[in-house]
Amino acid sequence: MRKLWLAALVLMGLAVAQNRGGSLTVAILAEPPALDPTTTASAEIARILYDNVLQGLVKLNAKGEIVPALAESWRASASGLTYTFSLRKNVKFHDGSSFTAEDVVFKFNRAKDPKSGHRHPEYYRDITTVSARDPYTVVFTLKQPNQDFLFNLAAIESTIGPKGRLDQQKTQPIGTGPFKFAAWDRGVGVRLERFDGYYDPRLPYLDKVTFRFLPDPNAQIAALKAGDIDAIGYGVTPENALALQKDANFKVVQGTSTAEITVGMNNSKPPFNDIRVRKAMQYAVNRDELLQSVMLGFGTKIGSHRSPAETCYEDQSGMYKYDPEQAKKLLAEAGYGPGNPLKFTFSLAAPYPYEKRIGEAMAAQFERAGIQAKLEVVEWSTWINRIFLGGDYQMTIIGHSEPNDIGVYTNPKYYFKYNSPEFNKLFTQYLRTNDPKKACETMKQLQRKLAEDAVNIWVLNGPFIAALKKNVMGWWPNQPTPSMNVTEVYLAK
Amino acid sequence: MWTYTFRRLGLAILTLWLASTLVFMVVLFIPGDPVATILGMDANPDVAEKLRHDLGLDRPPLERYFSWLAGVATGDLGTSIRYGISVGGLILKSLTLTLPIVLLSLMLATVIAVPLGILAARRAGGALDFAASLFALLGLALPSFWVGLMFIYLFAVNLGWLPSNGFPQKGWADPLNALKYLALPVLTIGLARSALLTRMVRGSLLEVLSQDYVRTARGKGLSERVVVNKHALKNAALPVVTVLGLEFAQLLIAAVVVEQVFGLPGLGSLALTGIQARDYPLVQGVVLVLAMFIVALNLVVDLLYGYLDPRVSYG
Repeated sequence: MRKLWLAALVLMGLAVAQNRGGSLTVAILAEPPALDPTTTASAEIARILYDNVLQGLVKLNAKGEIVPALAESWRASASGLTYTFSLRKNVKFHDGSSFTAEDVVFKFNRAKDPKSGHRHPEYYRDITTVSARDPYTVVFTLKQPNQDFLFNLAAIESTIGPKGRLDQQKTQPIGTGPFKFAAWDRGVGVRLERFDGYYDPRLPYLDKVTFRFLPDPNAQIAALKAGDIDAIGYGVTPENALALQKDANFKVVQGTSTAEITVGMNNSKPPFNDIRVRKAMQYAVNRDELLQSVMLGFGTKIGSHRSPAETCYEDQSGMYKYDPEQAKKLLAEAGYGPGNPLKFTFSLAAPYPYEKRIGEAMAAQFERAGIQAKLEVVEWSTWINRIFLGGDYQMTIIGHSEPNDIGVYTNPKYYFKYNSPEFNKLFTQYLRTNDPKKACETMKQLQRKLAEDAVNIWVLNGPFIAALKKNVMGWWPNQPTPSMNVTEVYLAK
Repeated sequence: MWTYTFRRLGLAILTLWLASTLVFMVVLFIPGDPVATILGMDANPDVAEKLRHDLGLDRPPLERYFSWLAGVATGDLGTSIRYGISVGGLILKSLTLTLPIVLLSLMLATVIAVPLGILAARRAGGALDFAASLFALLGLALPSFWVGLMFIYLFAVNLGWLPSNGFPQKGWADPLNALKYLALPVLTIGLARSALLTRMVRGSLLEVLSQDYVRTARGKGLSERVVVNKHALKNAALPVVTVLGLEFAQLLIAAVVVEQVFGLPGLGSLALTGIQARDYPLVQGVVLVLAMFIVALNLVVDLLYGYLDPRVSYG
């Protein structure tokens, strides 16, 4: 009975409260360098523009599923080599021009050309041709089946602007979303306004949305309390989240993200080229303690390189239970002991306070297993160049926030220096199958394989924590892809 | 005096050239790569190569240096790698925020520090002197990001008088509104700086007050007010003016902490972004502008010496 009442209340709430109008100011931690996701890597671009302003043929919804966007529907051939997309017919760009198959053809011919400056030509490598059968039908032919094809089409890089418009997209993006870009006040914020010509007349509910750049998390909290902003889009610290949860004026949204907080080990060099040592490291880590002490309970334990926010996830966090004695035993087998303890340098990236703190806490845990980690803090550009690109390190920790990125383990040059023909074979099976169910099974096997090889220590899924005024409704509960999706956000009266 | 000024200007240009060359070299040697920060962790090598070429980063350093120098000579500071727009424009825009903040802060600091320092010096050892010392100590010891946050909680969250962060879209078109947004940052910086300045005024005045000519003035039967205000203050101002000049130059960059707390895109934040993104033209531009301010301020301070202390001559 109580449940029924609740349901009735919720329904009434929805009916009454999905008001149109109003404006929303959302704080984000950083300013994007430019606003064109096809030329610049910055999660902030996706956070501000994904689905709000820029849309592609398909998109990811809050559950991480691929759903129609500019394509009404699509059909894959039995061979998996031909995809036919039927486009929506009444779609207008924010500059008033009509969206047609020509825009799609232009977009993907550019995207797959490595000389065009498009950021990820490899996403579209398997596309042989893209052509317009009529103004509202686009046909892609592929060299070989590609299980990630639709996923890549849902990426922010695959969003579509008016044909031929390139450089202006960097500062004045034009798309087909329910909001149009209004202004970018450098250093202050990006403003969006409702687009009256949106193809779904229900949306958006809000008239205006401003994304404010506020780099200090404590200042964000103060601004929220002062009423100067309505929401902190992401990145509320666990300490602040605990405090806000006690405040009746606000609500805290707590969910999963695509970030695997990963302790990377250099698999090609001593000491971590020895699987016994890598396994010992797994036993030496107490995830529960890290979760409670550093993250104050925010976050989800993981044990491989995939996030619980994504589809086809399998929890591997139970594979190695915390057991310092087992760690010592394995280390003894590898030739380390009290007289000759395992020593290495553990590099922490300066701009990420939580990864840094987790790393520090882990070093203390390592010590209980007789392992001596020398901590070193490196600045971001140095991290990218020396560790990530140069592979010059022993152990490091970073959040990998790119979604669906298990494929990086097939690259032996990637900074983990993992090289497993078996894993590569499995990944090819996943990528080239035509059967989504089988692909999902293989995806789970891939996660298992990485955990079995103890390539890295996957500690936690970085929590997604947002804070909102009580009346802000419809915020995404999880982040299957970085997006401050406000397309269906409304203000309750 | 004019020959002196001209000689100083020549020296200034030399200083600027040296500073900019030094920065160019330092920037070359710090590890990191703007392309990596633009394209991110999953950068495609072909795309990175192309971008490096487009940005001219594959040219030899000497060639880059001379083309940059040629640009500077004609007033063009180049294009920011991160933002893709003119460095000069970015710096000018940030100065419309940073200059008022710094100027107003130093004005506030002076308005507080001079009377407080004089009072403290005249009643050295008394209760007021103790209170002034305590204030100065707090101002020096409390970190500005914390003080800034406390001001936000007091004036924006609890009292609701002032906005907690940011700067209005229309900027200085509505000066009163703009000032409202700058009030808390100015208060934060101004109070902290007045602390140091109070100590300076007090110490400097005490020293002057113990000199023979002051004893003579007092001996002539002049009132203490006239002795302090007419005879001692001007001489006591010398070190204070020096500190003010240095403070000004320092604050242009040091205000970055307060800028972060209040979400203001000032010069310090711009420099920080430039360094993090390895945006070479931006960093070089900011340093050059900063060096210009320092050189100019030194000149102003030196010229002021002549006014404050007639013994200083510019022959």
